[in-house]
Amino acid sequence: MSFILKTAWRDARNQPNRLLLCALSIVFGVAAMVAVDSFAANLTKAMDAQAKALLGADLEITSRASFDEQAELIIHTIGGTQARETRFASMAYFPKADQTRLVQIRALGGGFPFYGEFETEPSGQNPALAEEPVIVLDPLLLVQYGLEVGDSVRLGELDFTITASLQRVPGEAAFAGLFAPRVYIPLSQLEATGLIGTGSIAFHRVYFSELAQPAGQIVAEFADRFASARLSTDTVEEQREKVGQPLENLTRFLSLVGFVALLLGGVGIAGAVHAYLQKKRDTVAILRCLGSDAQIAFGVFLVQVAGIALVGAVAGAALGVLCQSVLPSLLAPLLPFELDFLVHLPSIFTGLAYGFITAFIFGLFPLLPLRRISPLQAIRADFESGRKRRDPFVIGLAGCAAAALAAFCMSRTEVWWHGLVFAAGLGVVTLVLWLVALLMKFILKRFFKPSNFLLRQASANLHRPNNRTVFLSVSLGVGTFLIFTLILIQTGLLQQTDIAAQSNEPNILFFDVQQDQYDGLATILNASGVEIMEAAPIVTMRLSAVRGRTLSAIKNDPDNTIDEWILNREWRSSYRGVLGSAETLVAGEYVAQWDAFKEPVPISMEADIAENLGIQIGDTLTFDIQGIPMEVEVSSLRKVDWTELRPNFFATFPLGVLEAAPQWWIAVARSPDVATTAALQTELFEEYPNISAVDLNVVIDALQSIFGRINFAIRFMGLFTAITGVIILANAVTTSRNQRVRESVLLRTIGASGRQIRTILALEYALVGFVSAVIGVGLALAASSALGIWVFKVDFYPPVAEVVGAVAFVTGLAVVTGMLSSRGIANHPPLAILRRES
Amino acid sequence: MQTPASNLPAIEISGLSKTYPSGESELTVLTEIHFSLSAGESLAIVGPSGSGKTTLLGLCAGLDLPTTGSIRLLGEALEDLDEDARARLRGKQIGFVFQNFQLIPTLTALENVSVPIDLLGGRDGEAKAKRLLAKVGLAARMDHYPIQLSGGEQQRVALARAFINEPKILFADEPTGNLDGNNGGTIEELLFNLNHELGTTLVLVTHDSRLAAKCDRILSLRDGRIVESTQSATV
Repeated sequence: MSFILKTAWRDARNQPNRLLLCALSIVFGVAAMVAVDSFAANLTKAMDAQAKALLGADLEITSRASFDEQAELIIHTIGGTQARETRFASMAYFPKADQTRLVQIRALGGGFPFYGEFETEPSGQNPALAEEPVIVLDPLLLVQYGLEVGDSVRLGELDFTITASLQRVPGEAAFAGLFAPRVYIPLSQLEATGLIGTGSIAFHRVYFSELAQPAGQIVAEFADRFASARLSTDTVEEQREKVGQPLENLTRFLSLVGFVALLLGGVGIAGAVHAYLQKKRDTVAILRCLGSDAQIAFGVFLVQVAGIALVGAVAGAALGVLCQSVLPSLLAPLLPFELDFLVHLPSIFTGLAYGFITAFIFGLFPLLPLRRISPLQAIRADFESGRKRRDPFVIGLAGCAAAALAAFCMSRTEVWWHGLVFAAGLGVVTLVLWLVALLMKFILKRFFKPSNFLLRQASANLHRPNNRTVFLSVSLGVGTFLIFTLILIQTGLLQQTDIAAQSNEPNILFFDVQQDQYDGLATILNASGVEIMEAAPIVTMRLSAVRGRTLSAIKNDPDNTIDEWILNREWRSSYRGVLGSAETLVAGEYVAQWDAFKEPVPISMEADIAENLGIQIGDTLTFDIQGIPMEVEVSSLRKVDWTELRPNFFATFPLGVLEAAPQWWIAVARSPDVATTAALQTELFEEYPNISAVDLNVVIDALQSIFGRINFAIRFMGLFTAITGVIILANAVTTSRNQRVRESVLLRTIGASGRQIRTILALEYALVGFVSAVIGVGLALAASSALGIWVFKVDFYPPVAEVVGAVAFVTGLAVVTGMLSSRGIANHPPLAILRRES
Repeated sequence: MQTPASNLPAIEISGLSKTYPSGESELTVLTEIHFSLSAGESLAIVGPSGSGKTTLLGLCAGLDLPTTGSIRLLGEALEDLDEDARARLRGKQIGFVFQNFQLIPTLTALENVSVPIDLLGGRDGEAKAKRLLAKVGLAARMDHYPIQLSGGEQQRVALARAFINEPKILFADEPTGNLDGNNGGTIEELLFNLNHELGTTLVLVTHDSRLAAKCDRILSLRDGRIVESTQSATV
């Protein structure tokens, strides 16, 4: 054993740089894994430590309507200490700035929060405890309108005095106020605002603490009564699940992206070790001539490979700990709790283990054939030990590696087969790249004979003996594929939200318009040169029976396949005589007018929800329209394009039925510019303070901000894959450096200039980069289109500029990396040609 | 056939020395070398291993520059030219034959032979290469890769490549050193035949006294100095 270690060390000490470059291949993969795992562990730890503060109470009950008698009885029966809240969206007017903005009003009463702190600046200004009209604002509003403590804000008919800016509320991330900033007022002052009227959309909540029984037990015990009173509940455990699940999914995905970098690094190590061992074949043969058996000779290089793996894994873990500090700052605004930077040792050891095992397994592939080197090779360099047989150890190792890959991916996804699909997808992408690289080599060798010598020589380099063309294509291609898929998905999703940029689409939405306010709204808009593009009345109702079966019968049916949210939701339906502009009739006949004064009333249903309800043309439903039951019959099915900003509905009634029901209106319009929108909002607030006007540009900016942060986190991890690709490229260039130097010197000897040699090298790297980029981008287009169609349900339009940019960037990156790694090759003194082997 | 400028020596060396840094000291490989060679002449450089033969050949061909002294090749002072200019001069006027053939493994025999013309942007490389390969007896092996050729065949390809630009000077470093007797004889014959036919000046390094004796002159080196310069007996 000491001989093996001693010889391994003696052999390695002369080429530390080569071995370190090998080790570098896995550094970024391990770093990515350690960073993500540590981050995930810190998330879990923080959520566990602040679990109760995630809700601020032990139990929360919510209703979308004011609590009725039945609900109040339930609340009273549950007992404990209680606090109440009503939250809704409305316009706020800031007199100091003479401007208005849509805000989320939260009227708070009682001792909420029971856990955690209602943090304000200055501190201790929880409005729940106040009896006068005071208000705490999202800091965004203070900055946007230049407000200070002591200034006033008007909500509806009441002026409030600002007492503090909001810092943190238990259970809410800073991003909670992104679409509409939050303002907190005392519940006792809500009525005086006059903002809560008939049909207003508001959530009414009761928070509980000091309960006689655990919250989970109460939820189970009162389940039927909650359902019957249409109350929804939330416990600390459920809240933890709600908050934790998306974050867990995100970190799992990030860790898979990091794992891809590690896998690529493994491929890089295999390539580098292969090139390294090619030069060691003589050493092995000599060792064998001198009496060492195959195992000892194998052992010497096994120790070196293990050393490479260990050095790479340790360096990666160290880098991972550094990178871990970046993720919390990226994602902090999305988190509803505080996250500290803590070093998590188990994650570091896991990353180390994954890194070491990956590097070791991949290093073994080129190492195993060393066992078969004959001592004859020491005296006859061209000795070939007969026909090459397949090595069962290599086949076994490949099987183990595939199983380990699948097992890892499955362990990293919530549903095991998702992991399997990811692993298989990765396998397909790798296989396609591998085959394309082989095909490229074949085509270049057989058919690509350009008259230009430099191009011919560059293409010949790609199929030279011991070339790294396939390794390079796969690593660059997979990196391109991963990163570009993410870019395409982001671009595709943002295309859907890019409504405001389209010149003929609405960019301002009005809701909560009472029936008697509609004409006034239209007049105000017309005076500003803005026309209502589409409007619709909204009547709230609830479903009470489907094809004669009551909801409780359906819910109690163990074979029920109808989604719970459809049965429980408050339906906001409309009535109109024509199809909306975003609707297409797909079955039946749209009934425009119903003057028969009898039931069932013919209605039109949205096709997807009808499918979920299991109903077809002619089937009946019963709606409870604010206390009055009404039987309806499905007369038509519509396909609705929900991405279009139009008043769209699941159920639309014909004219002549709902006109007398309590209702409010929704309208959309297009404002020519930001100034007009702001002026309209202010004017409307003065005339009709209850009408909310949503500027969609603000919503889109908010969406982009969220996408931006999540995407940056994903791209940050994807970057590790790309860096690994660059390292592999540098490694591959370095391993073939001697061969390139020899050829460069030969060409210089027979008259080539430095420029010609550099051109040959640049063309070679450009060819590899270009082919890898085209395939990687092509696969990314296919993957993102598939995800767009089947997962996100949106149409993707291949962004031509991005595609061209990506291909150019990857090609350029390959050329720059290759040329930097080839420095000195083109001006190597040609005299070396006479020195070598002479 | 190209003919060198009438009265100019093909190679003119004066006061040439070459030293290399060796650790903290310097290693002198060549000291005070003077000689000149007329156009069409052939010269064999002989000497024991380490005597500086190969270094001298390389310096004569402009593969490196001397530490002191001057080298004029076809009237051009090499020390006045940068590396690319020297490479252009080699590409146009000089041919090389190496002991280990030095063919590009990814190119066929035909492509290897036409490389010097391709590098100069010439268009008749393939036709010339075919003619030369036929002349060295490899008409049937043009599309073979180096690995598919024997050592003798590879050296014949290298010879064809060396002559494709009709060089005025041919440098050969142990051209038969890696070949057996039969193949070595064939290469020798081809080398001298082409040399005479094209009027090329020939400089070769060899350990083989029989091969050296075929040259017009023999230059013997020992420890980096010329110890003897003789006219060959065959002249």
